[in-house]
Amino acid sequence: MRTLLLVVPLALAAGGAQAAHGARPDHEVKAAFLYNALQFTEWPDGTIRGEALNLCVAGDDAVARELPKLANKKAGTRAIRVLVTPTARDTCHVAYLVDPKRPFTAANASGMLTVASTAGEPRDLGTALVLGSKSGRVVFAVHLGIARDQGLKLSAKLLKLASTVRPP
Amino acid sequence: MKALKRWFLSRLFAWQRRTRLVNQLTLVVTALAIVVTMLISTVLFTIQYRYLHDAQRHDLETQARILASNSTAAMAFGDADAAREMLEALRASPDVIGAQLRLGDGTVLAHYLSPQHTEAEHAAPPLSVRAEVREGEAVFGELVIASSYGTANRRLALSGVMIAVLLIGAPLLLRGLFVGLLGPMTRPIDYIVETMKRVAREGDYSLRTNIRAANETGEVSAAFDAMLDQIQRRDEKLAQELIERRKAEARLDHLARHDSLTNLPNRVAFNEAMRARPAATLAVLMLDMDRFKAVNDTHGHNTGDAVLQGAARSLAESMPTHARLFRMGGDEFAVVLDHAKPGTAMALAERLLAVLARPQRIGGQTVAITGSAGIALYPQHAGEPAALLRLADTALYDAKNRGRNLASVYDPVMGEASDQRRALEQDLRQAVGNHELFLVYQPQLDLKTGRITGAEALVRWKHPQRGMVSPGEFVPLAEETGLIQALGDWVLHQACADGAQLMRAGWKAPFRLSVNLSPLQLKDPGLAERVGALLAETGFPGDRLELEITESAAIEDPDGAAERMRALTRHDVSFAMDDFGVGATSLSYLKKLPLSLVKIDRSFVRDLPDDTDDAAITTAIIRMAHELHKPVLAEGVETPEQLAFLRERGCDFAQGYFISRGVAPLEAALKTKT
Repeated sequence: MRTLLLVVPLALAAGGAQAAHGARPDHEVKAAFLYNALQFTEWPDGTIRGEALNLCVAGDDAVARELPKLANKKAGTRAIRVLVTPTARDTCHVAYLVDPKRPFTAANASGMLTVASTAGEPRDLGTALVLGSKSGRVVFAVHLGIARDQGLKLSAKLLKLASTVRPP
Repeated sequence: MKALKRWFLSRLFAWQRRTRLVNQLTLVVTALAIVVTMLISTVLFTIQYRYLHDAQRHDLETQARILASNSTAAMAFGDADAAREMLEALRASPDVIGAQLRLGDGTVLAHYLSPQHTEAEHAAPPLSVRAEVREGEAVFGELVIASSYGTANRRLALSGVMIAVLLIGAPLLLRGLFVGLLGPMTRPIDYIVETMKRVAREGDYSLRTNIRAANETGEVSAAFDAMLDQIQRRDEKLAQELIERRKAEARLDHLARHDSLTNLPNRVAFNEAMRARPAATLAVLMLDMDRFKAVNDTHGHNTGDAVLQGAARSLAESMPTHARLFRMGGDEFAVVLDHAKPGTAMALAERLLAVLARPQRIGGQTVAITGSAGIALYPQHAGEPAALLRLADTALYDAKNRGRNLASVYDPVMGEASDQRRALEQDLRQAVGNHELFLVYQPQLDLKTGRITGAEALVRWKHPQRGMVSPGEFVPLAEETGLIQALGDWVLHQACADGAQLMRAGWKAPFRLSVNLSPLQLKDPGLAERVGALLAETGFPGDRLELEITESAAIEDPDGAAERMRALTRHDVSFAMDDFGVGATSLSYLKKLPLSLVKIDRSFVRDLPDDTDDAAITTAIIRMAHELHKPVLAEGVETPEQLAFLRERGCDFAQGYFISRGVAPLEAALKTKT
């Protein structure tokens, strides 16, 4: 019964994916990438208390403005809570840093996935994850040293897709 | 449908009847093996098919899940290159026709098409599975893989080949095993069958199968052997019975062909010998004892039998080679002499007569008897041997006529005499009805008173062609042929009728009519009744009837004769002993019988008074009879001297030519008055 369903899709294979991506602006795609990256990230035991995964947004840009849309979406079993103006007392499991050079302090010293975005190809911005674009396509890079320092485990599947990997 | 079934069954039964059991069993087992193998193969193949297809589907699903899991990141980040790279891994699976990674919104991120597969397979793949592409709770899309059942089908094909091998091999193997196992099982049965065939073929019931086995084969063998035992015993019994039956048949055969008294071959054997192809020339001798009846009468039958046995023994001892002795019945013997010439036959006959004439000592008595012989020769006298007996008989009769103790060779002239005798016998049978017989009466003289006191009725025959026939000729003939009974009855009736008529005519003088009673008549138990009826019918008084009996008739059965005579005396009939003296009868017999008269035989009277012996005998008879208070009559008195002698010796009555010949009734009556 599933057989017939395949007939048409196999024939129309070419170009579908590009069309889907090309239609969306980069900041939306980057927000989606950030969200997707959460799926492939493992936090150290005991760093997340309660149901929520706190996504702290520091600064303001197009991506930062997209992120509150992720509120209440699920990352694994947890719902995402978006903290737009976090204080030092807040626990941030994920932190989107518009300006990574500015110091950012949260209640937790480790177990925080830091994310930054750049217009060009991703480069070392001092965060574990860097969102960028290359040849008109959104790509991302991973800084394994920073991730490891934070006690985070990034899935091999994610690493395989990461365009740039900065060795520690 | 029914006809078809019937046809099939009839063919099946016909086949079963003509096919050996081993082959039938083998065929059934083989057929069963094929059917069972096919069934098992079908089930196995179906299971295998399902299993292999399910296994391939399961493998594909597992592969899809792994691939989907590996594709999550590529799907999550929409990385088509990475996704395509993932799908490229399917190239290692030759059965996979194609695959797609579809995002959640239905768009295809990447696809894969196997170059080895045809358009038709692309269009309608036999197998397709899908797997969700997800990471934890997040679902990014799905993976669809289309595949053929290539691997499963290849394995199925291998299984098919194996099943085919099994399908062909199993029945063959089973059949081989069956035949191999059945062989030892059926060999004893074959042996039993072979033994049975041998028994049937050779009729040897001593054969045994002797198969010692604790199963059905052993039982069949034991049962068969037991049956053979029984058959053998029955066979032996049957053979024994057959032997005994043959012995019995031989005994019966011997009895049928032999005479029990002398143990000589009998008339049956003689006839067979004559019918069997005999020698080129042969003679038949008929031997007959002269007056053998007298021996029986005087000495009794036991003596007569002893005489016959002695004669048979003597004759048998005197038989030359080429001669066979037969007892033909009574006192008749026959000898068949092969290669005979008239001279040798005659010489043998004379020698045998000499043997016969030798006196025999039997129980202290000496019996002397002579014989006569008749000879007929083949081929001189008859065209065939079987006719010789009658011719020899004729010659024998001739010998008797010529004076006994003689042998005669057959002569055709004798045949004429014999023919005449037969003609006479025929005529005698008709003589009574034709009124050719009549009675004359010979008066009897009372010597004391000189009066005629009675007359003896004598039968005469006036033959229409031959004239008067002598009683000496026709009375013995009547005795031989049994006509004497009828003749005697006629005489008795006629005498009574004559007497009654005379009395009615006024004849009153006291007298008796004497009538001869033949031995046959005296033997008749109904004699008294018939005589009584006769007297009543004719009206002739019984006290005037005197019946004359002979010694031989009385001696043969003295008690029976006495009883019948006494019955007749109740009708007042009286009796005379006729021809007394010739039979050498003991006088003691006279005491037993109710006799009123003793008649001395004419042979003693003839030479009186000159013959001193006869005179002495006559005198003795008269004296003895008188002592028993019986009056005496002398027969055949022909001279005055005889009459004088008899009168002087005290004889009471006389009868003979000197007194009167036989005369008509009236004349006889008239003589009583003188």
